[in-house]
Amino acid sequence: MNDIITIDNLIARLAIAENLSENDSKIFITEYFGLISHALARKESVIIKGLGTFSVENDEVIFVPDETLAATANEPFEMFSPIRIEDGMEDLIAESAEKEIDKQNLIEENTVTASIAVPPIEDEKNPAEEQVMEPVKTSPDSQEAESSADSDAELGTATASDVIVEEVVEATSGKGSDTPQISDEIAEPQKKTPPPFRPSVFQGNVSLQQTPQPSQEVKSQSENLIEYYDDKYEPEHAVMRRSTAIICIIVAVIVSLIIGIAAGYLGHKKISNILAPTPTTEVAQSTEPTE
Amino acid sequence: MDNRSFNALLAKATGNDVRQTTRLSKALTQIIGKNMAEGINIAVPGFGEFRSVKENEHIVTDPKSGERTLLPPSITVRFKAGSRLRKNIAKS
Repeated sequence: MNDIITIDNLIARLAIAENLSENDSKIFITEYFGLISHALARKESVIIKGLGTFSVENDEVIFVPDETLAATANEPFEMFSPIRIEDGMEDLIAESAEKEIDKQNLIEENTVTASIAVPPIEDEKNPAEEQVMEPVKTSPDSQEAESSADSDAELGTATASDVIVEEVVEATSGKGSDTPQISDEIAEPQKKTPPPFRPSVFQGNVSLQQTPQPSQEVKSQSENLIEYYDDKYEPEHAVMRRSTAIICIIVAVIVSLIIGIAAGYLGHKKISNILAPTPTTEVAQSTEPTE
Repeated sequence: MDNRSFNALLAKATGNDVRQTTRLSKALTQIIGKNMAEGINIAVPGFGEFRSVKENEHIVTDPKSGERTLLPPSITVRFKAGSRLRKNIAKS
């Protein structure tokens, strides 16, 4: 809904803009619009430069704004221009839209689990439970149960009461004669010890006394979801980084193998030289006199 | 009634000269345009209301070529006649 300014505001603005007295400004604006309305009452069209054209057709006033007025009104968007959408751009838009939808779904799931996990305060819950139970005992109609649900919502009670109402509605829609049992079932969670909190799976049987410290678990679950989301939509640069690291490791292994083989070969040659030296000149001299 | 005769009549009614009336008329239309740009409607009692209607960016398809174009947001100035003006028109 747009804001509306009245003629007084318009008079004040014109007076400030043109250094006029408020009285002069008022006279001018009154006469301005008075002249137009008189002309229109005579079914005469009025062309005003900078504002537009007023005309009457079938007792209806038709206003066509002037180009100057349209340009002034569209000043905030003058930097934009129409963009022709190519085929590739369409795919990109659709992809980004899908990602956005997935993101929103994740957020919704998170909020649903969080709303289930909100720990209700027992003292505040009791009157709400009574309000749920009373109409069930007196009248088994599901509509009344729904109206009690509405009253719960108005009271600002937590979602657990809504869950009970859902149970009541299901039971009443199935069998009308089972209403006393239903009220017993509703009363049971008050006596039972609180079951372990399971925020990941909503089974529709959430009792009122739950979740000693649910906020941490919800937090961890949301973190898991975010991790899952991150894994699902792993960015391309991360994949590239990982493949480059693998290639680097393989190259390093190959190079180290080559170096090892070369070192082994050279080392073996040296050792063999030490163990079995090649015949020297002394040996040759020692053999000469025998001849 | 064209712009010149309107300004002449307005000058006569307000007791100003035509040049000053033209200047004031221009200033008034600029004020109206700026308010429309800000999304503010202007209500003039006995006359009507100038409304600023914003249209968000949207995609249009050419039925012949099938080309799709993303159009930027825009503001259209509309006028709704007041009840007194409509009665005066209906009377005449």
